[in-house]
Amino acid sequence: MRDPRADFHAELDQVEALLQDEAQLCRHALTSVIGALTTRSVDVAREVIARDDEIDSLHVLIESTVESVLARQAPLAVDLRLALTMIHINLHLERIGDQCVNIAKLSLLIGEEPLSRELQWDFAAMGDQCEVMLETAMRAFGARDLAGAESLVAMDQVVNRANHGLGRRILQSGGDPEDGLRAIVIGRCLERIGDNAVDIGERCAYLITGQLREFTDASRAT
Amino acid sequence: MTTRQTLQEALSALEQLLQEEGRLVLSSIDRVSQALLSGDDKLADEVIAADDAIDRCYIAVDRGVEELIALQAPVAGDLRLVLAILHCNQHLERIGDQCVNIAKLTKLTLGLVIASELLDSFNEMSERAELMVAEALAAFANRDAVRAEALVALDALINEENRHLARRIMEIGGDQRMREAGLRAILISRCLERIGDNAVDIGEQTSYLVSGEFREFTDASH
Repeated sequence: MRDPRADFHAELDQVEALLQDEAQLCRHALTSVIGALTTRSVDVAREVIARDDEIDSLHVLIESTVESVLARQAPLAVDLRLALTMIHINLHLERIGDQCVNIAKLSLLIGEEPLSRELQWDFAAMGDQCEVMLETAMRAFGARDLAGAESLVAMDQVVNRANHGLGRRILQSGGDPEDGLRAIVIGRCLERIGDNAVDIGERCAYLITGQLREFTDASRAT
Repeated sequence: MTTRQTLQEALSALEQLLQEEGRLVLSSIDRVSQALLSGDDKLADEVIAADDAIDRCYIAVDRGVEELIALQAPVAGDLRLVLAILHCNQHLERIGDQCVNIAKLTKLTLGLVIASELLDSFNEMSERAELMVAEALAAFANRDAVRAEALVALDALINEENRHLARRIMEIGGDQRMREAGLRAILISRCLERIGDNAVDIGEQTSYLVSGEFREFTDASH
């Protein structure tokens, strides 16, 4: 007879692999949307919006699988923490997918005029940093690496500073006010993606230590 | 929580803690809108400081969810309730953070003149946001799926007001200082709009709790 605990662990492992797949889709969405934004590609922006359905489907599958594991098994201690951690990471990944959709929609509204070099550079730099953060967060989760998870806070400051710089530059630059505002909101979406990566790091730390604490003071960023 | 507690007692204690967090969040929305409308620096600081109490409640609910599953192994509708509480807890904490963002933006607008028509819009939006969160919490407490779904119509109004406000700000235009005020105003408006989205998300949890099936009230990506 098979050990039900072994099945249970296999199921949690499967969910964990699905989460990593979801994160891959999010990273792809992020890279694509920054490309769409900086090259003004309508097709790529539309593709990011369309492909968010894949992230949403995985999100629902992960959520329902964890729920069914919790209902059928009564996981204890670290297994229970893993199940709950995965519910949270799943939420943050879905939010990152939604932020990419927001950016894609804003990119479509900006129209076909090329962005200024400064703006292209700002968005590319923020996007790169967010992608590295997402990768770091998911690798820290996979390896149960506390130091890796904690390193996200310093990485996030780079995104926050870049976002402030972006806001200042847009204010000073004149230019079309509508597009300026759209650029500001895009900066904010990227900043939120960074925050979500930090949140994944916090959940990862909780999984390892059993203590939930916020890495940074309450409410980040304005 | 002690092991002598029955499952129903434990569930009800956890739900009360969530509603307590909801009351703190409602008070933050109320006070931050007062701070915004009257340009009250001290009140804005109070809202920022009060977020710590919301975060403490958030962490207590989060821990309560884990303990309850570990000690009581809830199944079926009881497990759904615990998981719905987990999700609502996330949304309430986000609303608390949005209040902090509005408070910080309020402080940044103190030296700037905000047109009175914008203040009227803020007044309306913040009243709607507060009403929506109150409705979402009441619908959850009463397991009232109809009331929860009514949040979608309320959210449409707040979204429309947000779009209207952004248009007006761009029409007003003006010099650098007015543009800066306009920019802050747009970000504040967006925070209020996001509070509405989070209230709808809490409504979706009520619907999930009542029906056992999760579905998004509106199309995916906010």
